[in-house]
Amino acid sequence: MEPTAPDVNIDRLLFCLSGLGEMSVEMTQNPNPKSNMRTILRMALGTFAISKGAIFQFTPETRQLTLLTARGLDDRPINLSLPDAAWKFFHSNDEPLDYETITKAPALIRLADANAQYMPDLPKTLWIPLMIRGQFFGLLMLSEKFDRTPYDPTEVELLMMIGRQIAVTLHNHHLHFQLSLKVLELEQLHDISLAINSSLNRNHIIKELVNQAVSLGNARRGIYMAYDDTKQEFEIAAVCNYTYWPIGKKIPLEDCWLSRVVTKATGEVFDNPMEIPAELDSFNCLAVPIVNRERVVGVLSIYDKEEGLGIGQFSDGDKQLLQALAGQAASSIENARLYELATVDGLTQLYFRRHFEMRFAEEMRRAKRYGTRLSLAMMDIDHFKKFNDTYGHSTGDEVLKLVAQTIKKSIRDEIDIPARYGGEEMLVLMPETDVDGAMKLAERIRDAIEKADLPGPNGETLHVTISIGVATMPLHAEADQALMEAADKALYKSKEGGRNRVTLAEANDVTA
Amino acid sequence: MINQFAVTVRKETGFAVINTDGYVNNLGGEKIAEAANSLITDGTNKLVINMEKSTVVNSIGISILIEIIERLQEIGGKLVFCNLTKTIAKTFTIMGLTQFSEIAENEEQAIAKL
Repeated sequence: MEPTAPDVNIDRLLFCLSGLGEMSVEMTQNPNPKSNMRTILRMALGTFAISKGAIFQFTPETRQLTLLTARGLDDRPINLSLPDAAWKFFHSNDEPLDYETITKAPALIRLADANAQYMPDLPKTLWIPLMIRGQFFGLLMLSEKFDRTPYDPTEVELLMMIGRQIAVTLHNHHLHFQLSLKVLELEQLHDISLAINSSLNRNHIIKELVNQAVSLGNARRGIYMAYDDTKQEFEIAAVCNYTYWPIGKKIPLEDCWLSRVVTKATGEVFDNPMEIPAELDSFNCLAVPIVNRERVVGVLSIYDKEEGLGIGQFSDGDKQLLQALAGQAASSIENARLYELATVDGLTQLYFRRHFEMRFAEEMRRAKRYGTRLSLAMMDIDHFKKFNDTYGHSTGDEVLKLVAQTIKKSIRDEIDIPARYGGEEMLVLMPETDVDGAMKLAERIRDAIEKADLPGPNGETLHVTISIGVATMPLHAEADQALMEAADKALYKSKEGGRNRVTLAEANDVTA
Repeated sequence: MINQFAVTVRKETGFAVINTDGYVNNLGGEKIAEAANSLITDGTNKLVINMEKSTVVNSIGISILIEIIERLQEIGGKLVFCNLTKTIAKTFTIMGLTQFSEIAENEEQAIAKL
């Protein structure tokens, strides 16, 4: 027996309801937005027996409707640009649009004109705006039904419900994506903070900070400038990807493009390339202050936000992230500064004797435990007293600085330990270094100092030399004090032998 | 629901029979579409889909069957379903599929309707 019309309607509604149930399961369970939308569209088309359909997502930044998935259309990417009139129309209308409206409303005629190459193929029997709380997320475009019957009001109402669900799903995918990005950024921030906090070397921290800020902010370049509040002056302390920018260059506050970051003590985005010095060759900049105890002690700036193949804009999110990083770094930089004050001699930037002795004892224990060599070079500036008396104490200080800088340049960063031991006496401890390596390093230092020019007080060029004694554990001694004595004796021999030379301790110098 | 689906195809002179086995959902529908499209591309435009071993069709299944019917319509072909359960037969009728395809009791009658 043929079913009667009301029976058909009820059966059809029942099928629709089961389709809606399947769709809601799909929407909540499928985390992949692309396949999710594809399946939902197919379910919607099958539920109402519709031939063709398409889901477009609205992108506010580009004011475009981007095709997410379609059935019954050629498989090609489609981006519809929304003219002003169409944009306003969709933002003020959440009603379904029938064929009459789609083809005759002035705002939609504008839309068709602006996208003439795509419009003939698009389904135009019924358009459902995808809206949540008045916000436009996209369009569900539908053709006529397979059996050519018109959409009845119940079907349109159900399709509107589906439209709202699709909008919620799109919104959720968007939020999920944003959240994943945030989690990734926070993980990175955590890793960076750990890396920075684990060091007490200020230069190392600052260099790491700039590199990580560039990577975290997706920028091309970066600069860290220390700021001196009393002199109102910046000093370039570290750079990333600026090969020509000189470390140590000083810039007065009033001449610096970043001055407002200091005066306002907040993060700033510089969108106008005219505000950035031409030699930086950058389009935009994001800069945040490094604040310690309510004083700006530095400015971290990154340049040229990477976006696809071009330059994008720094967002508020980028600013917050960089500020969080700056907040983490501020205390690390301050800790490193205090550590330096406590361990490093201000004039020579070499370690104090007390700190050296602590490190020496540690390295001695380590060398004994692992059976490795440990070498010590003891050096003394030749005729330093005479030099001081002849040219004055300030030139004497310059000699000390020159020798210390030469030592620091010659040794292995973060491995060898240089120290100022007494007035003009300096030491270098060389872990895991044998006689040959220690003698080579000592000779390199002696040679570099002999060749260095030092400007004298009357414009003349002065030269100094140093004498060095080298001893190695366990060859010359097996305890720290004994090793020190062996190196001291070797230094004495250098002095006796005519100065400006390196002498290796002798085996019979061993006293312990 | 067991997520397995099988399709077997038997080609005869001037037509072909597709036998389905399992739930006609996303996966099952795609397999039927794949078999049908390959037959159509090879020049067969008269098809019988024997659904004796399929007892459930969901919305995606309907959507995919509509695609097959439309493709056959474009080339002047014909599709006949057979051995449908009462529920599936009713669903096809109320969804309007029978306006552009036919339903037969069994395979023999389906072939006769082509």
